Amino acid sequence: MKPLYKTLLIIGIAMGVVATSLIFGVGQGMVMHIREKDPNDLDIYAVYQPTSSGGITGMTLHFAREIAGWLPDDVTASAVTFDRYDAEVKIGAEFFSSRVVGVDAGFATLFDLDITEGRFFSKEDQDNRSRVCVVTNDLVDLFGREALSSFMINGVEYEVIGAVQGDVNLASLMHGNYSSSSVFLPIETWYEQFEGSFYAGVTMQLAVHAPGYSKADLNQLVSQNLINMESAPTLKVATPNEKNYNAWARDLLILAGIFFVAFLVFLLAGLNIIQIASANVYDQQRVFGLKVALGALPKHLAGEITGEIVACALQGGYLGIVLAGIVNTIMNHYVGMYWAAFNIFTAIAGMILALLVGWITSVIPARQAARIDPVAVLRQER
Amino acid sequence: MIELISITKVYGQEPNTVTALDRVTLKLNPNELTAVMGPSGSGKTTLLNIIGCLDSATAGEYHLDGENVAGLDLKAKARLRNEMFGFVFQAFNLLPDKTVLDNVMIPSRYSRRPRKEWKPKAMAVLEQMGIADLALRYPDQLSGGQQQRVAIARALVNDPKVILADEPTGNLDSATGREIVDVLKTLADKQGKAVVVVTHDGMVASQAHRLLQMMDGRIIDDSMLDSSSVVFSHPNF
Amino acid sequence: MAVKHLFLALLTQKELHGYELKNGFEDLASGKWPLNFGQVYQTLSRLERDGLIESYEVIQTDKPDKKVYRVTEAGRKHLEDWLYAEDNWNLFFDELALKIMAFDLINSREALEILRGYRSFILRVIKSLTEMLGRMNPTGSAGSTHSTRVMLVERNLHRAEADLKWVTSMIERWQKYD
Ligand SMILES: Nc1ncnc2c1ncn2[C@@H]1O[C@H](COP(=O)(O)OP(=O)(O)O)[C@@H](O)[C@H]1O
Ligand SMILES: [Mg+2]
Repeated sequence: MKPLYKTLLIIGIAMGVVATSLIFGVGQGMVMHIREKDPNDLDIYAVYQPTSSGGITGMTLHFAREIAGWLPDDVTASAVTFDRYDAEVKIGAEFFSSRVVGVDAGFATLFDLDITEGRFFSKEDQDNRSRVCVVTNDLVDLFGREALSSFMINGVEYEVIGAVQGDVNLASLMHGNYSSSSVFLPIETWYEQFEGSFYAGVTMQLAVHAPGYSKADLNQLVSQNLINMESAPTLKVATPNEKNYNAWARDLLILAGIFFVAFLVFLLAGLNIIQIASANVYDQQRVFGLKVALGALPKHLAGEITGEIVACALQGGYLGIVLAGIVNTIMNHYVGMYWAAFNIFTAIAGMILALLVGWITSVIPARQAARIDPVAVLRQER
Repeated sequence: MIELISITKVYGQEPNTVTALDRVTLKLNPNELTAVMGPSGSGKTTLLNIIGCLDSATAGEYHLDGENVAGLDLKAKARLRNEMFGFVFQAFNLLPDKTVLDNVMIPSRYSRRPRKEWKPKAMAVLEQMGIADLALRYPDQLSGGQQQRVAIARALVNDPKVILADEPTGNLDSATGREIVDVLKTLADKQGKAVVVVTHDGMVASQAHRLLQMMDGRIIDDSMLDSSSVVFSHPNF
Repeated sequence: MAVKHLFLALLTQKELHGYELKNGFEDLASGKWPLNFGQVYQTLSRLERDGLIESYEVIQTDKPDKKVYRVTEAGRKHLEDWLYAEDNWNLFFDELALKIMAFDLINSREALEILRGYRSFILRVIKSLTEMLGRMNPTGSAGSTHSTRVMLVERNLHRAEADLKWVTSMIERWQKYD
């Protein structure tokens, strides 16, 4: 096969595999991400598929407030930062790694938290960006009241104004687990740490208490508003991801659909392969004619062609998976936690697809080669 | 060994038919270098293709070692081309992306020979053609004469009994052409092959043992080129 | 008549007797032009009569006396003139030339047949000349290619080749009228 055709084939298959892997990888997730391009490309929003009383995740504080505004009056919401941005907490003389969570003043009410000591911070604390915090009571037990009087987070001193019951399980409601060893700060105060930073777009989630609403209702509500937003044209759907595997059946259905889309994409690549390989057969008619003259049977030619295409498919598949990996890494880097599910299964699926398509599509060029009349093609000298 | 009896080849569909061969009767013998001459379109290539089982006759009988070739299927004919005949072309027809050695091994790949014999056999025929040192070169790194030697080596690699060369010197200068004819002649003289060479070049044809002259699909003359019958004269005084 | 000029040429090298002259000439002609003694002595006596050579007797005791010839000044001059003279071109240099003249008088099919026969003949001539050349220069080495014998055969080969081309094109032309 001519190097040009070989290269084209490899590139074609690689691109097919990239597309497929991405679709396949992404398809393993369930979350619709909405991304605002301008003015700050780093602002990445996502609407988390809310579970029955769920939440909406991955946005800037500004956007979280906006979304909260769209919700009906009987739905209460509180912005919450993710717990994963750990801070260095110094209690007394000891350093302690703790979850630091920014929340709205209404958070305690929303989740019905037991205030064991002092008070939860108020709306004023929030507006004034005062340096106050509330800790879970296990920290009080651990360090004692005395020690808590000197409380530093990332080198800044905070006043501990209260403690809440720590073993509440919020994990099912929210991303994260605030059940113990957590520190709650007024969200504005804490958000200063992120504003304008790389993570600004994904630190926020909106905890929602919506009795009587299904998650589909909520989702529709939010999506509708997103679409109606003035800035809607600047928003686009980006890579979603799902960490919630509850709805298996539906997931499978969607996965099958996505696999079908991937297959269609690859079928296009397949048509491309057939085209290139046929062009190759046409171009190399003399070569095939010569081989027939030298005693090659159709099965020999078919074997050679299939071998070549499958070799290209292997190389293209490999290249495609590497490329898809790179694209994924870059994407995940910008999207933060929302990495598409690019894993060994995606890679294997991509490879199998590449081989399958290579093998199937070689049938037609192989037939064409077998039909070549050696007498006719060798007659045209040069 | 090879016997064509009243072979006719008609191309095309009625009414646009071309009779490329018209009741050709011919016997080929081992140890014989046969030159075929004739104007273009006279059926030389068609004759070669039919002898080489690359094309089949419209009518007539073709006996190869006593067997009627007309009755053979595609697979058997491919096997015959592979084992019985060696083809040499004007345009050399080497594969440019393969080395000389790989080019020579092509017929082995389609043969029943065990794989481990391919390379030694290919090297042996290259040696015989005097170009063993070029085995790892690519065809475009060789002169025309060397390329044609590679093509002859490829034709010989499966020990065929018949070599069919269609204008093998057509792309070569006359000195190189002579060398190639000498090589083909040696195959007839020393290795007992039946060699058929289509040529326009009288210098090439003159080296043959036998000359076939063709015209409009017929053999109009089939004679031995017996040099001893030539009488050289001189002025009387 | 060329033989006498070759005799003069041979005698410029050294004095020779009749038998040696005959052998010398035949050798130059690669043995393809044998002379008989009658011709040799007739030629020599004419040359002597014209004053181009002279001879004397060498007395031998055990064998018959022999006549030895040497070239005269006039003979050298005569040879020189012959060597430098421009040749004629013989328009009717072989039999085929005369047969061609007859082509208009016979039918074209016969003419074609004759031409085909001639091509086969020319091919055999070429084959024979090539073999002759091969015997003169069996290894194909360049050493002897300057020999006059090789030159002679090569010239014939070239003319035969040219004639082959001519006859081939003639055949193709006549075939159209066939
Ligand atoms: N595939 C074909 N279809 C129709 N005519 C053909 C085909 N192949 C050859 N011919 C005709 O058959 C005749 C003989 O061709 P060919 O054997 O190639 O002649 P040569 O080799 O002597 O030039 C020519 O008239 C040619 O045009
Ligand atoms: Mg031809």
